[in-house]
Amino acid sequence: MEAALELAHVSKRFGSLVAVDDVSFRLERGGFLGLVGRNGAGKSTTLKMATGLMAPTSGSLRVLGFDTRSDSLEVKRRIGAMPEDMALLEMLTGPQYLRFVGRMHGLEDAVIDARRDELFSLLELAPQPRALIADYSFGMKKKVALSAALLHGPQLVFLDEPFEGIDPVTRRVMKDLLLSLQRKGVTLVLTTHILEVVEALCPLIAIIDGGKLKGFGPLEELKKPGQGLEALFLELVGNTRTGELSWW
Amino acid sequence: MVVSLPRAVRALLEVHLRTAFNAGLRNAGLAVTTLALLGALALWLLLLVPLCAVGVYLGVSLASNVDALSTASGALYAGAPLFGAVVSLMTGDTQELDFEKLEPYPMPPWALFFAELLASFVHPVMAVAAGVQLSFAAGALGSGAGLGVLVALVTGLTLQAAVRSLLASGAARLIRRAQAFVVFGLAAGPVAFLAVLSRVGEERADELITRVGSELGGLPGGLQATVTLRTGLGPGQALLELLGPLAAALLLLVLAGRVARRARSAPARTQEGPARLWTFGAPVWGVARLQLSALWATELGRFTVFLPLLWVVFLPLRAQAPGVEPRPELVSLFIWVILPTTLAGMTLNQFGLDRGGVKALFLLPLSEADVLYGKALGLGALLLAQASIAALLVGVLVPQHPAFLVAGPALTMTVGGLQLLIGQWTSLAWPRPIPRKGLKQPAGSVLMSLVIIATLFGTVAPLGLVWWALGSRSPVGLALAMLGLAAAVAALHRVFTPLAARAVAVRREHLVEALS
Repeated sequence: MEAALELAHVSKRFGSLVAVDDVSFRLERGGFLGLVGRNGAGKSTTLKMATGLMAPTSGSLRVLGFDTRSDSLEVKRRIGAMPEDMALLEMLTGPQYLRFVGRMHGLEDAVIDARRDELFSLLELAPQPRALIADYSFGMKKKVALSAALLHGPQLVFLDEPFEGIDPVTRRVMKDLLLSLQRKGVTLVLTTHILEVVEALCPLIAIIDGGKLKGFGPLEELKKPGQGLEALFLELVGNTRTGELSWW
Repeated sequence: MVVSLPRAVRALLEVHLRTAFNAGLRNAGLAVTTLALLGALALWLLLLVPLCAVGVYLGVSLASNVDALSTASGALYAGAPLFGAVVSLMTGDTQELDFEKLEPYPMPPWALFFAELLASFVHPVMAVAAGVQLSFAAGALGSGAGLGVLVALVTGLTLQAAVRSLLASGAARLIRRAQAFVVFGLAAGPVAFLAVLSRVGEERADELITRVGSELGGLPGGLQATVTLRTGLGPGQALLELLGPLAAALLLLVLAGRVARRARSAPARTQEGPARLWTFGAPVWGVARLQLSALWATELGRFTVFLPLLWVVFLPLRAQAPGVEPRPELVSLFIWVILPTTLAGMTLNQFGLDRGGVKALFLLPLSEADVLYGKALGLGALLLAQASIAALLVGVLVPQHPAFLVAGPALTMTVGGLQLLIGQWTSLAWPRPIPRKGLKQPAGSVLMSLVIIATLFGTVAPLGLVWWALGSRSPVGLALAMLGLAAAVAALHRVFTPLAARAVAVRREHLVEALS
């Protein structure tokens, strides 16, 4: 069976900056990958390439057996993505936006509305009927973006910082939701700076730094005995700073 | 899952309408939005009916008074694409493709583009532009030229909209740039044809229409035929004549693309060492520099400098009518008038580029007046840069008395200065964050579009009359008058900015909330 996500020597350059440098890995179907790295490490760029929003400078990416460049429509039909900036149409209400997204994925209105109600109820999202997304709080926007990513029942879901700005109760619900999706065979790729979340959710870890893949595999295989993800992460990316100010 | 294309296109169109209406509701409430929509419709009719009448009159009179009328209609033809370009810029997020947000959906790019193109025609402001162009069609029909002209005009209008959308998406997502070039090339045919039509006699017009009409089936061929027909001197020389403007247009496109791409690959700067530190004498200069820097850091700001200049290159096609006493300053007048309007999305939403940073701005030890003066200076500097480049191009492409090249930028600064004054109040009434990437202008509401149109016509009508009256008698006098007006507008800022500053203090929380 084709892998859910396969990167082969993928690089992305912006002028002189190498955002992603010769990254290769293979994620099997039904896997749950946590992609972690520092700010500017190349995580979001990798996700953009995997979702077909950005072409790699070199190398190839296959999603669910389809090449992201030559079969981008097939890829888009099968994936759900929640970008870090959420990319919402903010001059719509939440329900209007989900209706639009659902229609673009070929869903019937009745199906869209039923799924929306269930998602909103699960995520405790109850906006004022006429309130525009532009007027939602940051956390509410995150919930709308997550709902939009899941609405059409994708086989592979990319989530870029999904827990940022989410209250602890909803965060718990979201974790349960993601785990239940994985149990149903959905492949998930998650990026976050909250290492505890990755440790709790993701059996597979990819650590990226300076555009390079520093580690990939099951957490248990990557870390030393007794070592946590944070210690492993700091060891792989290196950190010599002490957190002290000389003038204070 | 199979996606029905008609259904998806319908969904896209619906989302456009909802977005425009919701934005109006949010900014101004139901009553005002409804009134604004009715106003837009009325404005369209008000423009359309008299312009059609003028068009018919021009057409009927073409044979008897070809010299003066060809210059006038040439100027009008010059205005149409300019107006269209402005319309596309100012209508913002209900007009332009936004591939960043639409790309994730399983739709082929052509379907997205088709839907966006359709949406651009249902927008009320676009309808005004369509009305202007249809009036020219009426003029052509009045001349007895035949339906072929109407076909050419509608084709031209469609292609213009296509070019604008493609240009915008091309700069936002450079992968589309090649397509933009192709469509731009295709659009050049009808545009050139219209230019020809504006300066030939009735008999020749009929001949041209017949011949070009037969070429419309293949537009690249039509372009070649138009070029050939333009001078009657053979294809080689004619092609050379048209190559200059086209090459200049392409050069500007390439420049705009490069500038936009540099903005997109901004992270590369982090490897170039520390940025030069800022120094400025007074807080107001700091705000001005911040505004200018923010403008230049956005794709929209950079592209705005270049986009209107694309149309400058077509001016000579309309200005050099054989056998006509040329008044090129009337043709280039359109450039000076249009330039400030291309920045309207920013001058009428002066805090938009600050986004959440507006909070930081208000936490600094600055007076509200300093903030407003600084913003006016920053935006004014960009406008001046734009006008200076335009003056250079106009000077080269449309030879005229040097005084007009001083009067023109002064006129631009006068209109821009007034727009900045009005913008101080609209910025407080309808603040919206301006995206740093992409070419969407956030002036999407119909209400804001109406303010832009009202500002444009309110200032252009009197200033245009001054230009018309003084231009033929004393170019130097005109330049002095325009410089005087620009100085007077600067003085008005001294009077009215403190009033707006008080309003900023009152609306501070609203600004922070709306922009964060």
